[in-house]
Amino acid sequence: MSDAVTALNGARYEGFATIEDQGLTGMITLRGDLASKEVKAAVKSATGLAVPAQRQALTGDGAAALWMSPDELLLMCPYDKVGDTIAALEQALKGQHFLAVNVSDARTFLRISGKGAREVLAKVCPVDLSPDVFTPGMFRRTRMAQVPAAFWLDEAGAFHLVCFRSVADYAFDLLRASARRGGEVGLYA
Amino acid sequence: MQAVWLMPQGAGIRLRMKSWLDYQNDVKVSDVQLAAREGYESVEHAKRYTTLGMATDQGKLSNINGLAILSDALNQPIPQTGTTTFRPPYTPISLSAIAGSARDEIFQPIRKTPIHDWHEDNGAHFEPVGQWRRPYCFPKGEESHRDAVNREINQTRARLGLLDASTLGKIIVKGPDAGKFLDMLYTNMMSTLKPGKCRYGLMCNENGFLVDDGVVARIDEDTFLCHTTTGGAESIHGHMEDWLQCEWWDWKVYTANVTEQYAQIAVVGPKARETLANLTMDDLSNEALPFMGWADITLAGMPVRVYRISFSGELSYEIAVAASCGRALWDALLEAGAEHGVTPYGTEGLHVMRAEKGFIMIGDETDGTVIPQDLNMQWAISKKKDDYLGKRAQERSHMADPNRWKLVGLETLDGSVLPDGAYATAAGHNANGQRNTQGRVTSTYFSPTLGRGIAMGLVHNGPDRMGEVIEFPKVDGGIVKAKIVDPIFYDKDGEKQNV
Repeated sequence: MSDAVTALNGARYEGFATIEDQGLTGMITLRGDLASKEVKAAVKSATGLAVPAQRQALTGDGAAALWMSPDELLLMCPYDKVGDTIAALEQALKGQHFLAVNVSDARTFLRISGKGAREVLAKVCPVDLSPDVFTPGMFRRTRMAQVPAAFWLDEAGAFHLVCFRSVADYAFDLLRASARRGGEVGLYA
Repeated sequence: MQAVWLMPQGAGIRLRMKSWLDYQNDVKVSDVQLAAREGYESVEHAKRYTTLGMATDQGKLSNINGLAILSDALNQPIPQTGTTTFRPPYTPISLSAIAGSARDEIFQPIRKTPIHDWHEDNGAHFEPVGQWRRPYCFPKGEESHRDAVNREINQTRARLGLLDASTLGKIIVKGPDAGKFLDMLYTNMMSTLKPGKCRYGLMCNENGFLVDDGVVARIDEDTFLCHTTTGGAESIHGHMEDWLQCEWWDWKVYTANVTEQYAQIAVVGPKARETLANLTMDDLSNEALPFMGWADITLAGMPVRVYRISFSGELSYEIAVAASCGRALWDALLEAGAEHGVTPYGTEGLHVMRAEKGFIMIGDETDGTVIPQDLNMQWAISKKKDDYLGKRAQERSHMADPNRWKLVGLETLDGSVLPDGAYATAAGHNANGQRNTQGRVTSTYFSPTLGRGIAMGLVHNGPDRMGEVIEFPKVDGGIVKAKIVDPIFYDKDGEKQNV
């Protein structure tokens, strides 16, 4: 769909960390029995990934499997592959009790990178982000100032954060304020 | 030197009743002395009895004096009385530390629909609806808000209007027990709805009171999409999960809140079908897509879902498109509707048009004390079901009491607009010397369609008193007389939405 745009339309800010709109990304809410072999097989066939453990993020080539709750995952794939991915899930889970629904357009997806990334998020989320506690591959649903958000940390030290689409401006402005030069606390330096 | 805890020392009862200790909670010397006399000798008990030191200053201003007064009343030294537990922020912190990041443009989150920028660029007068900002109306040039609202309604009823309805809640409910679950949540029967069809439903809490309403669409055998009010999206989703997780944990139902996945645009008015037909190859005829049906089509090159539902009483289609394409669809509809003078309308136009049709609004006709029977909505309560949330509550004596105020239309004799929330007086006075009342206004507007004020209200024995005139005192001392009428002011037979 050539007409599709994200709420932030590619916005980017460079402070003591870099905040970037990650662009249109396919996202699917999958609810079901995460311990079942059928769900494991379905997630594997649709994304190439295993079912993540509690508070874990698994990532692959253009795909991610994120643990949202004991019976819910957020799966990511390329935006134009959402329909196929949902179809693959539905095929694999035929006869099972599950829910797979497209939420790609309901979200804003941001990347927070650079040396100060931990600190930018630590200022606005009640999460212990010290390097020995929050490590790559961890996923956390939390509160970012006044809105719900969820993020994981990758091996390169960048955070990938999702929040609702309607608060895209708030989320971006908030992270920009948190990343403004001169606002470094140096807690994790 | 002697400490003085009360000035003047030995003050009499009249002065002690005016000797404030806690300036935030209005605790006086006489209150602490009373606590001691009542036996609240422990300082923690006296604190809770009087609220001394329980304000945001945590007793910083009051506790030493208060404890001294208590010690005096108990005839013991201050250390024996002790101190209460201080909680943060006993040690002063700056107001900026409390405010944190909440200032300027990030003072609070403003929720924006995918079409918000267009509204801003086109002079929308916004109103807050929760954290959303929705256009109230779109004044042109020097036009007043009231004139803008009237123009938007007239144009929508005559030709074509557009409404950004993206904020209304959308919840997917799926599973083999989804129909059974919705039958418990709504007062009506939802399990009999056919795929491809829509049904309006009412939701009550356990106490029988209305909490939400909206149109439910059956997507397939196992899947329903429940539309909620804008304010109900999160709370109703929570309500569903509460019942599924805590009470009916063995029912096979999953829910997902997909409110923000879609931009939803209402295309409303006699020219609605013609406008859409120019943007699609799909069949939108009355036969192919009748009133209260839905269909997946391609519109302006975009995959959309069209719900043929109407909150205005006109021929109306609500179109759901992926939020990322919402602005593109809005622009395409403006372009296609230009030949019909397409007119975006705001929430006030929406409200007036629904009131002209006698449609209720959660939060106007309901206030947490109103049950469907008060609104004469027995038609929306299934008699075939054994149970639904609120059913037993609605059978309690006070809920089944024929004296409950019931919904009627109100038409002022002079054509003026009744004051919102005004009470209708009845003969006599109550025990407090106030006028007795017999009803109140729940919705009131100027109707450009009828050229006069129209209102809905809850009135004692209202439906049995058609034609009777009752009086509503105004705050300025005057009185407005209004006739009790049917609440449907416009197109009683619903012919316009069904063409």
